[in-house]
Amino acid sequence: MFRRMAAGCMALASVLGTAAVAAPLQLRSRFSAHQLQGEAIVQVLCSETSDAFATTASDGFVRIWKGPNQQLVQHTVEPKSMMFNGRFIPGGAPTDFMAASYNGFAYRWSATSPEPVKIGPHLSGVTDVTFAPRTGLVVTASDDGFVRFWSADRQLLTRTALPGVTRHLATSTPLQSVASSQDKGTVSFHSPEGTLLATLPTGQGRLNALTFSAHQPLLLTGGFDGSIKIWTFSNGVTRPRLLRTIPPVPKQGWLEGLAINRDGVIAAVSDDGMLRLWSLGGQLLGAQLLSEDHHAMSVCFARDQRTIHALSQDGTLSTLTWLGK
Amino acid sequence: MRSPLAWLALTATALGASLSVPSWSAPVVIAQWRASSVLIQYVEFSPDGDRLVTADGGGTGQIWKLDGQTVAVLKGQRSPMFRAHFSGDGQSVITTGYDGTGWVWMSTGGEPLRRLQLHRAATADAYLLPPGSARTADVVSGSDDGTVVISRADGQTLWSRQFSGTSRQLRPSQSVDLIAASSDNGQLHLISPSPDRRSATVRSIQTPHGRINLIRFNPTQPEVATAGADGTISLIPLDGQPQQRLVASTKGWSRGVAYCAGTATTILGVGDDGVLRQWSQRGQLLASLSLSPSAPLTGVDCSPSGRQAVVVNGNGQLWLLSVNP
Repeated sequence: MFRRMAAGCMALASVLGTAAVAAPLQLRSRFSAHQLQGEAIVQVLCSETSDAFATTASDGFVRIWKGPNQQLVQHTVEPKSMMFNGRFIPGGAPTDFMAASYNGFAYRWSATSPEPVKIGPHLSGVTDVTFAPRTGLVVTASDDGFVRFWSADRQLLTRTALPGVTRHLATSTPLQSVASSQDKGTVSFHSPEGTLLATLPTGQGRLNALTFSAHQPLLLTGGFDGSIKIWTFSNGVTRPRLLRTIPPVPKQGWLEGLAINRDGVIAAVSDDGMLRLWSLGGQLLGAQLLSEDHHAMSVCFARDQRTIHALSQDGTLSTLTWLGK
Repeated sequence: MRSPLAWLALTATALGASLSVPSWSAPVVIAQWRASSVLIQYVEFSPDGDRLVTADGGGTGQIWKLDGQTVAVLKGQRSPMFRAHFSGDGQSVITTGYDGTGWVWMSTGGEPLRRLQLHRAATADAYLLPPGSARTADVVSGSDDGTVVISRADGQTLWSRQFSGTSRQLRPSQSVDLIAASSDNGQLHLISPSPDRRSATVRSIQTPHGRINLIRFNPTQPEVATAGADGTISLIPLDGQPQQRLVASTKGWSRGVAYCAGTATTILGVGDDGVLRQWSQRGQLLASLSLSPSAPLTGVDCSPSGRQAVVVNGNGQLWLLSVNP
């Protein structure tokens, strides 16, 4: 299988005329993090403070892993409900985690409480959860269209109605903002207290990926149209400017997941089962076929900024190393 | 087998008492088969009552005879398939998918006739609007992008309205002069299009459900029924009379509701507890039948004659029942 995938990668490199494509990426391991069928929903999240990473899936499980094949903790709720996304809790223990659930609640697990704490209710499924910079408020997004800000003691502080589904959240400490994506292709920027500051129409249709750079004032968006758009900011979040559009590779399909490391290397996964690495200038740095039969859905950079975890729709977790400069 | 309420009514009548509870027989299963290997999202009778259409989470629609024989398999749209509706003349079916499309198929052989890119996010629901054939009819659609759109066969938008949250459910009235649509924030929107469908008036009602999982028009009086994530069904008179609420599931969501207009009009409801319930129009529980203890019931419909009902569940099981004898 590995040989076939490597051959696929080289073939792709040949098609793209990028002979160096396969060299900078090393596939280290693959294992089944979740056993999933059909149009499953999966995410992989890397911890910023340890080498742990988490996987959430529509099988109802949140699993936290410390390195490949070493399962640390498994979180779930009863009755088992699909998990859409999640985040490690800033300042918490390595396995402290919060997840967004289809049943209309976000769940917070911590080493100090044996039972998960519920945040909600929402009027429909919770699609994502994160923590606002500076204030530390819990932020949730939902199919009901609201972005909600919650206090540490689970009191609803503010809610903002936005068009359609609000699907993904991202936070930027440099920009002091929380971004939320709407399925109509917009990104809304909120203050750490929950005030709506600005809205950005991306023109990309449904956004499957939304991520800030942790080190630069940059935002990446990707989704329905397969492109990656890189946005920069010169004056807070109120005036985003399109820096670059990386167009989709032929037959790539939807852009499903994005991550960016400290050096500005962009990792992108897509419907064609591929992981591709791009520079901020739009140059293809590397590519690896993760699955011939399943969409590649989510990707993150580990704390060392070189280890990449990518999750395919069947629940297979691939770990790779970026060897380039 | 008679329900306890029916026995009570018969006994009371025999004793000369006057009760408002009618004599009633519980629905009886007359056929059942495995219609899919995965979750069935929706089921519907054809306008002549001779066929059924199902849409499943694996992206497959199927048209069935009432004896379980497959008439056509509708395959090709990106999964999951959310809804499948017969046209008013029964000659075609429109299905909705995750990729924002609506596909129109021949209902006899299952050949795809039209592929409509209705939205740039998931198309949650769509109907062909008379007059016109499968190739020329207008389409109304709702989407995760929060819009409800009426478009012509050539794709031109006639009317569109943006709502907050997913525009998940649609239902045109029998005369198509009113379209009911729901948002995942629990709002029910009653849309009255102008004759040329280029404009419309919208009246929005806040329901108690949160996410609404199905909408039905009462065929015998001006009333809409909604099934929602709070486990109840609301009966909403369109003339402003007080609403009724029916407990449709003892756990989780209420997922389906149907009016059965036979010699008397009754209401069927299904939900996560796996029980099919039947009520009178006054909201009296007439019968309940446990069909699926281990998987939620995900859809219900009643035949045009009001004498048969169909129920589906999360494991792909389908039941055909005799009702309202």
